[in-house]
Amino acid sequence: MRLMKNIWLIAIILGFWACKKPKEVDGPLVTEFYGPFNLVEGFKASADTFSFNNTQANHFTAKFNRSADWKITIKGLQSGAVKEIVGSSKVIDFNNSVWNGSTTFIPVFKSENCEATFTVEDEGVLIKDTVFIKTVKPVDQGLVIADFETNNPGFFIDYSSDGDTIRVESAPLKAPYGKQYFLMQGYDKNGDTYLGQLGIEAKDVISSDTVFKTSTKAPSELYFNLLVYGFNKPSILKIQFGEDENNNKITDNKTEDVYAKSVTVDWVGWKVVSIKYSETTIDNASATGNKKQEPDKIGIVSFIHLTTAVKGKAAYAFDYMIFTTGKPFQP
Amino acid sequence: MNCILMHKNCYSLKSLLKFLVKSTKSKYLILLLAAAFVINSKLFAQQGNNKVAFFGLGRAVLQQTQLSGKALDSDTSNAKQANSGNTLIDVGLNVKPNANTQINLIFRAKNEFGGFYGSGATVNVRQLFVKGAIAKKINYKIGDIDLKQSRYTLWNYDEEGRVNESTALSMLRDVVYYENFYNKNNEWRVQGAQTDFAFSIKNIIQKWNSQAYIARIKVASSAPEMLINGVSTTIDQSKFLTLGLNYANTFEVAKTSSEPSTFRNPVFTVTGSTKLQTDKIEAKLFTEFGQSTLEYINTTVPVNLKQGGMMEVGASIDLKKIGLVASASFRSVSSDFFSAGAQSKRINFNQSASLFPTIGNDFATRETNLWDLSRDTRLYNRNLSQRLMNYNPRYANTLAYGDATPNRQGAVFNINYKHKSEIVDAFLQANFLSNIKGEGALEAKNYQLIKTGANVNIDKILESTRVFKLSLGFGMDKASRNGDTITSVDYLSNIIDAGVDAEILKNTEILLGIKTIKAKGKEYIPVRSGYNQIENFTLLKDDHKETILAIGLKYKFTKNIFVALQHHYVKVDDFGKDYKINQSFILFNLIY
Repeated sequence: MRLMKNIWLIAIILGFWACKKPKEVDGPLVTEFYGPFNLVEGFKASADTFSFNNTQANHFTAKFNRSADWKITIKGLQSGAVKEIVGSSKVIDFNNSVWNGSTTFIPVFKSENCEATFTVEDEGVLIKDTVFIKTVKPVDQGLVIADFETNNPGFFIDYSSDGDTIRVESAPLKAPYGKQYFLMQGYDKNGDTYLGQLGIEAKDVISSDTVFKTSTKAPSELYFNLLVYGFNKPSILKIQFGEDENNNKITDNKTEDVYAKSVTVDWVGWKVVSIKYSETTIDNASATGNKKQEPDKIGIVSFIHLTTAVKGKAAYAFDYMIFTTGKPFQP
Repeated sequence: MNCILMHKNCYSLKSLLKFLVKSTKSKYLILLLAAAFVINSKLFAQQGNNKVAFFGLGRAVLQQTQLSGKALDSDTSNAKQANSGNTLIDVGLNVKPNANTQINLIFRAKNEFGGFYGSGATVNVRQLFVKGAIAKKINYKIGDIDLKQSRYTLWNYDEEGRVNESTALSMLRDVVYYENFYNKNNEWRVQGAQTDFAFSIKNIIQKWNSQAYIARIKVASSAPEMLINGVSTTIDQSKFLTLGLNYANTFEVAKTSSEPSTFRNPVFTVTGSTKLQTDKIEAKLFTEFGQSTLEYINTTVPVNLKQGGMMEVGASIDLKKIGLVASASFRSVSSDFFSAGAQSKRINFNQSASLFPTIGNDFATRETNLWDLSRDTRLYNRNLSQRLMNYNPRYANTLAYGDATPNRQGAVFNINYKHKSEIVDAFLQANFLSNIKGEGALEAKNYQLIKTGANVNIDKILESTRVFKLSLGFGMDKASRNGDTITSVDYLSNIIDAGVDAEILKNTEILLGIKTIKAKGKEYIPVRSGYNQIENFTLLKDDHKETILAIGLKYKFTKNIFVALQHHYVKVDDFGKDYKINQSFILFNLIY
């Protein structure tokens, strides 16, 4: 029993020893995120004039005493185009604020004067600067599968019993490219969240093709991009990629892989949605496909319209669908 | 020939398996087969055939749930009522083609309510393994296997949110456990191969047990395939001294996907214990210490290799005549200690609840509450995670990752008491821990976690044959840190569980249960990168209350068959913005 008493004593001493002050810190200090916020260096553009046809690193600069969630919003004063750059850091420089002339909310920028607004919302900081665009950004190249203009593919449409509106429109929205766009809107009457879908097969784009002729076999290199308009009605856009693994001109979801990714459309206006093929997940795990992402075997792309809640409403429009290689499409 | 009697017909094992494989092509054939097995199981028993045994489970649950409260006052976007349920049958088949081989297979047929005429029906294989012994010495098992080692290498820790929970509230939790293959042994269900053997050396080693395993825990997708392998060995040198070694290595296999980076996480620990015992008392000294390595290979950004250590040393005493077991120990788990097998959590806090996942017109995610945790299978995780998973300090803060929680050291005390006539059993666990490294500040956080509970079997006092049991539980989880207004931490969470099981009529029990939690204060929750490093903190300022009341009836047809009818009332109050959930459900459960 004396031995046991001594052991309990040792445990208590070790317990007190454990309360000693540590000399090291795991991770950053909380004061780097939650202390008082001060600007050390003001916000400004790296130059008065930006040209996007060369390698010039057009960016913005600022410094703070601690990390903060910041946002730079650049607005074309003529076009109304908007570019947003967001970050969380103590310093804004060419590492985190380079602007290549691309657009977050369509339309695209012209050669025009722009207003750049810097905000740190939590701290009530708002600073403005101006910049002139001398040369606009060239259009990104890739495999366009639908722009809903004259080269309209012979896509198939599936309507659910909810009677979803799924069709090509030219109004009231202004299409980001050309004059027409594709609209999906409806109400989930039957309570299954499914409203309808649009499918585009490779042979609809080029009749001799059975798969989309993407220029890479690496899933981490291929991006599927489209411009999506949100109406402030949170909706889910599920994009499925069906593979033709055996090159028999049929994409069979029972014997061949289908990969998918869902995007919650919760913004207002036109915005680019880019999906890296390697970030899609298998959507028909119980099928007998080879469970291998093969970007060069995609035979069909489907767009499934879902509500975020049972018996909810959902709406969005989309336009200009394009596969790009190596980087996402930037309008 | 291995002959299996089926009623009056005789099939070879090969032809039976061939028939099963063919049948999987048609769910209806499987259903017929399942029904045939159930009908014939009695006949098997009657004929005394011991080569094939049937077992399984049948279950039907039907629930109606309503959502209301201030938080939904202007909500026109979300459903406020949901009806759901399903029926399922698991048909298990245990085939012994010879004395040293066993094949175990469970088919599942499930039908969701609302999926009329079979449209919501699924049929699949729930479990399949083969086990046996080589030369009657070395046991092996291939297929679905359950694994565990020590609490720091491979261990499936119990989830948070309960301290001696009432029967009423744990009824649907038992369903969650069954669906996720959790068991009382804290094992992880994986797919792979396992072997174990034991031997002794006269006058030197009383018993030497060893096990080795390899399992695939994640298939290749955009990320590489992940495996775990390990070895455990325990040497009982004598009745006084036991030594052990545990090794578990979780790793990704390079080139199994297009992603070039992989990770490896070998962990090893050494265990030891010595004891002295008499008829009245058993005194024991125990220890476990070890090291972990976490390495990321071929990453696009350089990531430092991390090595961490752990150490536990303690003593326990068992006063056999009184029924009291007490222990005290010192534990230290460094901030860099990482063990995928021991620190993966059961609850996936990134997953939204199945019922009413969003709330409000802005479709904000409804935070998972204690009631969701007691019933929602979807919230639970079956996989080992290669990074520390998210946690909610309301439900577990001091030991968010069980005893293997990193960056903790201090004293741990345990007392368990069991009355010899089983009238009362009680427990007390007390953890007084602190950070080894400051977490976001130079000052350490101090943690106090106390859990206590008791079961009082009033039927034993009254010497009644009818069940009359009272259960109580209380937990306090406190974190504090001195400092200025920015760095200071003061967070307290209290949980209470209580329940009554009373057999008012023969085989008919009334069940009452209550659970409350109150969490208040300020805490910083680490936000980790994909490489497991703290890169930020989320500031939590909390004033949160939850109350769950349960009332119901349970009728037992036999020991293994019951039907229960319950109503749950849930109130969640977050900074005065509350919502309520009312659920009525019927559960029929049959084990055969």
